[in-house]
Amino acid sequence: MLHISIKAEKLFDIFGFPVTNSLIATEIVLIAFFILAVWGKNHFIVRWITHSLYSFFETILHDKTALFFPFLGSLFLFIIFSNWFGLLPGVESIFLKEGRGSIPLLRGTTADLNVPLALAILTFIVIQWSGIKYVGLRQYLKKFINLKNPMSVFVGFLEIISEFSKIISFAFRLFGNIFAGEVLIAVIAFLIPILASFPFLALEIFVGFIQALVFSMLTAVFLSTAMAKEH
Amino acid sequence: MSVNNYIIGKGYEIRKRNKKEKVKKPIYNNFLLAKYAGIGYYVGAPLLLGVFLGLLIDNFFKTKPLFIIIFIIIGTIGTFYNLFKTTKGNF
Repeated sequence: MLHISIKAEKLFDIFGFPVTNSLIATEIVLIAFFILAVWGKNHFIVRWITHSLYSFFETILHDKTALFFPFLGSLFLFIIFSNWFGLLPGVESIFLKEGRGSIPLLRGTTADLNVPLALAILTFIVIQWSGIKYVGLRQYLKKFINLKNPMSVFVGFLEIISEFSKIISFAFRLFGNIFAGEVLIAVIAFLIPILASFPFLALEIFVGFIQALVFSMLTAVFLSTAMAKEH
Repeated sequence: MSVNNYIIGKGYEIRKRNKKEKVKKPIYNNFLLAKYAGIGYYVGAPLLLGVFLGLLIDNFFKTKPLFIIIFIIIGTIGTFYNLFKTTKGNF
């Protein structure tokens, strides 16, 4: 039977801390990321990726790229690894129990809403921090609280909503795209078992790349707009 | 005769270009890619935020339909504000 669950499922507890299947996948991704960072850092592919990412962010952030590149680059790489990890054979297809109430052992990391939400909140904090640091607290708050005339009070209120909606938009964009892709692949493989899901798999590889790019690039764009001084 | 010798004027008429006027080159930059790749979620998110907040406050204070209506209205205005911001260019 087709197994689709919108939330990650609990596998077992460690001292009352629930361990879900996406948490295990996240740990695997993190370990792979760590291995790549420590032992693969001098490999020419890693250098090429880092270099092209750097020059890519340089077009948006200009002279502040060196400061934010560690954050943006690791955001991009973590998201792209997590997205592609969910497409590997074995993920969402190895089950712990048979029949009813079966739980997959692994689940795509970004197909669990908690991970995109955590990344989005982290991004939000970095954006606000950089805005306050580079524009100044008083000048930055002027964007949100402005008592010059009634219209600017209202616009400031809308700015606050717009700022908080960034968390929602970041989180749901990533979660929605990746989760939808995994459901799509599962359904296609369920309908036609042989070869039919292959083009969708290729599409999902592309979507995973684009979503990682969009997430990190939008962060860069919001950072640069938060740091821009109002005239 | 090249296409670049003609220009669309302020009243949308096609006229010959003065030599001093520069030809506008199409912009290919990453800002635009970032902006339009995520426009759907960026525009829709305030509405979602309004619904979530409204539901949360309603459940907390047991005032079932009041706050969700207020926050949906605020969220809709926020949605249009985000749309306005994307078209204005100050993302």
